[in-house]
Amino acid sequence: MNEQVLRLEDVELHFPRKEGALSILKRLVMGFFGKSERGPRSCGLSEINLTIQKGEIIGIIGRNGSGKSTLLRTIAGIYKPDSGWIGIDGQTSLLAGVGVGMNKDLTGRENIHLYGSMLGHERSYMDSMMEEIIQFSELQEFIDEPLRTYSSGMKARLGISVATAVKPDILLIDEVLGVGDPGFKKRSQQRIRDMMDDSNTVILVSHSFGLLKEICSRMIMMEKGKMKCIGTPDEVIGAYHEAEG
Amino acid sequence: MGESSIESPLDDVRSPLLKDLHPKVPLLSAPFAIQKNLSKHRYLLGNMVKRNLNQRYDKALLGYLWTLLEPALLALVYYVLFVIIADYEDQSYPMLILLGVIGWGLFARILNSTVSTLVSNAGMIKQSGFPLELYSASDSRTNLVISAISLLTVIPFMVYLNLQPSSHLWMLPVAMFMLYLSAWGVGLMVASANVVFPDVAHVFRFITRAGFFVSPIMWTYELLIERAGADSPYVDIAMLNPVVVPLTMMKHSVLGTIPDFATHHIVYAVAFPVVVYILGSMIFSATSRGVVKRL
Repeated sequence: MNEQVLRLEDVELHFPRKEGALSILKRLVMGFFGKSERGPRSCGLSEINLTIQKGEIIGIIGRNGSGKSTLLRTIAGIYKPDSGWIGIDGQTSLLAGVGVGMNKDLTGRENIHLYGSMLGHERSYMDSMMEEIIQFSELQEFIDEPLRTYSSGMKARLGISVATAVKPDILLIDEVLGVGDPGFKKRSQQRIRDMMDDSNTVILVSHSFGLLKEICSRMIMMEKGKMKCIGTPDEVIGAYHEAEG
Repeated sequence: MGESSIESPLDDVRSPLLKDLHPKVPLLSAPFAIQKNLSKHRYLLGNMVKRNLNQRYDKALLGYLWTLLEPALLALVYYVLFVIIADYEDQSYPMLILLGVIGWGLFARILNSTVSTLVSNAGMIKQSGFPLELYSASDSRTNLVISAISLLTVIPFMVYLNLQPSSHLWMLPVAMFMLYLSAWGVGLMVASANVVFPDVAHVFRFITRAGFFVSPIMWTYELLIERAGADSPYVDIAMLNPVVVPLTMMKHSVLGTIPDFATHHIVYAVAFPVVVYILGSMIFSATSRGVVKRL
């Protein structure tokens, strides 16, 4: 049972701030004389130490700008940490901002191929999933129309339908649970939960504490780029409310 | 699991099954690593090329015909300008210009799109973890497809000039591949730098604009030799421009003749794309992931 799928050791990530040409020049000159100093930067993540076992469902909470999404993207391999080590066993798939990379001039069907391949699928897999995806999206009659003719709700439905056809080893979800009309929203939440049952490990960022409390085995609270606390959902949500005052 | 503070959360040992998320790619294997990534994600790459082409032409009434129409109209302008107005003797001149324009367009578009590949795809880069070279590779291949289609406009000229396709036509794809690899390689070299200093893209936009005049588009390699003399140091300087040989090859491939280059110019022209691709892939592999957070 003790099977690590993800491990972060002393992960640090800084976002450099924009710097003027003069300031860069000054630093270069100072560096030449042996007085090197860092440019201005803000902290993205620091002192992240975390081990996640196979089968865990981890919820991440925190205020805006606390580093939740940054942490998720670092795990997805999008950001490379400045220092520290990340080890992973398996394939990750990040669901964030559903429909990113979809193209308005392609048809619904072509977009399913495009978005599916972006999520890391092979052609054969997408071909086999195509009918199911179209059915779930309920867009049968529009599927060969270009995406620009879709309403925003329909686009979201298409995106969610493709995104939730994923079965990665480690599923990373960044607040995509609330799109579409109420009926579709309910169905897509159910589908994401099914997906969580299928995927071995899930890490999700969300503000809906009710959902998190229900499904998470462990939770993490982020604050200013650090892991403020980690523990059972009750403990962490308690700590969050305490910190909020 | 009960502790809610995190004094020392990693009291267990690292599992040997874990793989480094950012493994160090040895610099020398970077050129191959990029090719491996592209072949691994060829389904995505194909979809991206399709998307690019669609984005460009799908909405237009004439659609893909524009890939032909654009150079054809341009050729018509040259024809009017040089053959009718200037009464230029060489009837093939407009076709040679057209070939130059197509070849140079391929080079300039790939170069500019690769230089700013990270910046212009920032939105998607921050949402998906697939290899960053896919963006510039898909744009470059899109341009290769467009240029290849544009070449069809040369056919009416060949008919008009009574030129038969000759065995020298092999130079055409080779020359276009040289242009593609040179532009992509140089672009990869500076794409990361362009994220930190967006000025880089401005410099390259200027280079591609000025480059139009110092490349054999409106003039030919033979004209250069004739004016400057084959042994002139100016020729050596002009030949530092990596597109002179491939553009000249494109023109000769259609004329059915072999261009007369000095050996060291050929060596340089062949080595340039290979060397810049190797350097570019090394620099891009080592730096691109690190600059994503600056996007």
